[in-house]
Amino acid sequence: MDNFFNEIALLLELDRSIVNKDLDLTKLEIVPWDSLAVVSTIAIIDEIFDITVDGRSLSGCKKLQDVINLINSKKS
Amino acid sequence: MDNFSKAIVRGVHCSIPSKRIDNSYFEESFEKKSIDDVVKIIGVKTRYWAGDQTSTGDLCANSAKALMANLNWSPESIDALIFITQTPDFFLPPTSSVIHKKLNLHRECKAFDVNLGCSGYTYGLWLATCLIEASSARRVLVLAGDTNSKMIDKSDRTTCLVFGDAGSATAVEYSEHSVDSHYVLGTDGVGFNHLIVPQGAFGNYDIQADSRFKDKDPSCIFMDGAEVFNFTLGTVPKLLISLLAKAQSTIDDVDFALMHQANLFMLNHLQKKAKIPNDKFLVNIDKYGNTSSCSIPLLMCSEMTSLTSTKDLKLVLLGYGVGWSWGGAFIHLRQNTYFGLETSD
Repeated sequence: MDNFFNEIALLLELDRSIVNKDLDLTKLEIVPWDSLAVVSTIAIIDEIFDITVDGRSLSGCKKLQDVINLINSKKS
Repeated sequence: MDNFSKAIVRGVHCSIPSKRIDNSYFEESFEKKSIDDVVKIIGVKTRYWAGDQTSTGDLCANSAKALMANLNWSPESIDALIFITQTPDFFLPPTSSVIHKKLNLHRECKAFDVNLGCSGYTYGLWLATCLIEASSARRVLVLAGDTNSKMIDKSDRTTCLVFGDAGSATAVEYSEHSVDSHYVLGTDGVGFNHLIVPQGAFGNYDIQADSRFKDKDPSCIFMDGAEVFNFTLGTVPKLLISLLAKAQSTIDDVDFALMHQANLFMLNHLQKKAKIPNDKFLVNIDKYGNTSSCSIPLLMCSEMTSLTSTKDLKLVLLGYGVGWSWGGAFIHLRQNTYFGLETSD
């Protein structure tokens, strides 16, 4: 998951130290959690975990933990 | 199934309109940062849009004339004309009839339209090959093009920045000497409403029941980027694997892989996932945008002009998108296959 947080930090242009499961996706200051961020996150998840998550579910995530839950539900 | 030996591509010619649109054009409608954010994903720096007086049929007919002149193909020798587009000149008659007249083709020529977009070129080559293999034609013109700029919503940054216009013509001919080609084609109608113009024709799509269409113009192209990306991830790598297996080849045997130029982010991801080396992976979306059914032939004409001058080439062509529809073609090009590119209105 460390690799995933590194990629999310890069994508959202955030300091790596604040990217963890509690990151609030509704309060991002630089790169918003919009359709562009969602598509990029789909790519990150595919690359790291070799799974696909659907865009609508991803768009509805409020915290990074929600994204992690989606990933885990696809992995199982 | 779909393994052939009698048809060969003799040449390809593309026409692009003269009106060049840089990214600065969109600063009238969007903040520069907003444009830059989209461009980071799509990778388009310039695209060309047809004027009001220029149709897809015009661009493809111009390409066909140039191609026939360069190959010295007389109008009387064309047995079939296949016109692939999602932006026809008319609902009726078929635009292929209009082009038939422009090219002065003969009455025994079989001419018809095919409504396909991103996968259209590979389907077009397959159809031409099938006609030749079935002895229904010796020479086929496959015309593929779109003028999607005429149906984009200029207030929707997710679509208006990505599309460019272009028209192409490809000459496919019966070959006395065996020339292997292989195709893998498919469809999944589950994806029909993720890349759609919901209104303007005669079907009914309930946009009120689909929240994605809130504040969208239903007479313009709607694209659900995440759904398109997921479809692509799930389909294209497997398509390449199937195609190479059918051709009993590996990516090492292929000279170039030409993918439909949907957006740069997707192309880079697919290239990595499919492990296609950089020197085999052609890209031109930065220069022309997503030209829909014309994107693969335009890639040939813009990036391959000098590459067949010294040797035969093996190509993999992968079209995928609207429908969902997908098509893969494994083809051989002989040395000195003709490629041409022009600006025409």
